[in-house]
Amino acid sequence: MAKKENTENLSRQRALILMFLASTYLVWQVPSMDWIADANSASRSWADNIANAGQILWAVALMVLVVKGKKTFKRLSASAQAVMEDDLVKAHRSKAIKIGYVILMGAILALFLMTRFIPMTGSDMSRLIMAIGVATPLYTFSLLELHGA
Amino acid sequence: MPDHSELLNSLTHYRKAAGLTQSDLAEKVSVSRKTINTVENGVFVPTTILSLKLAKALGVKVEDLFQLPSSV
Repeated sequence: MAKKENTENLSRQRALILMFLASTYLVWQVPSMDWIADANSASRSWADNIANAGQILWAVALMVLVVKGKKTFKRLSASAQAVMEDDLVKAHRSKAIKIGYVILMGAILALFLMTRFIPMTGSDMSRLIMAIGVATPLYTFSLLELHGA
Repeated sequence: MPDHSELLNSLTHYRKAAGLTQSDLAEKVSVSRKTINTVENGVFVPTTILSLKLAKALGVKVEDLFQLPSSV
C-alpha cells in the first residue's frame, strides 16, 4: 500500500515541478523582452529583477528535476518505475506535445499577423515563440496528470 | 472526453467479479490506479499490450473485456 501511495505522490510531484518549471521559464523570458526596455527606467529595473529571479528559480527547478528526479527514479523498484512511465503517462506526454504543437503554430500565425499592425523585434518574437513552445506542453502534461489524480 | 466513444468495455464487471480493487489490478499489471480508472471510464483506450496484461490478470479473453458495438 505504501508503495502505491508513493508512486501517486511522485507522479503528482513530477507534474507540479514541471508546472513550476514552465512558470519560472515564463517569468524569466517575458520580462526580458525588448518592449519592456522601451518602458521607463523604473519599470525596466523591476522587470530585470523579476527576470533574474525567474532565471534562478528555473535553474533550481531544472536541477531538482534532473538530479533528484533521476536519483529517486533509480531507487524505485522495477514495477514502480513501470507505474511512473505507464501507458497513460505516455499517452499524456504524446497528447501534450500534439496540443503544444497546435498552439505553437496558432501563436506563430497570430504573431505574424500582429506584426503587421504592431512592430515587434526579432528577439521578442523568438522569446515569445520559445516561451509558448516550452510552456504549453509542460502545462498540458501537468494538467493531464493532475486531473482526477 | 473518451478516446474512442464506440469502445465498450466490461473491465469493471470482471475486476469486481475477481474481487479486486482498482489498486489491486493496477499492481498486478504494473500501471497506476488512475490508468485502470480511466480505462474503466472509457477515457483512455489501453494499448494492445496493456489489454493483454489485463485479460491475463483477470483470467479472461481480451474480447471479453473490450468489444465494439455490433453495428461497427
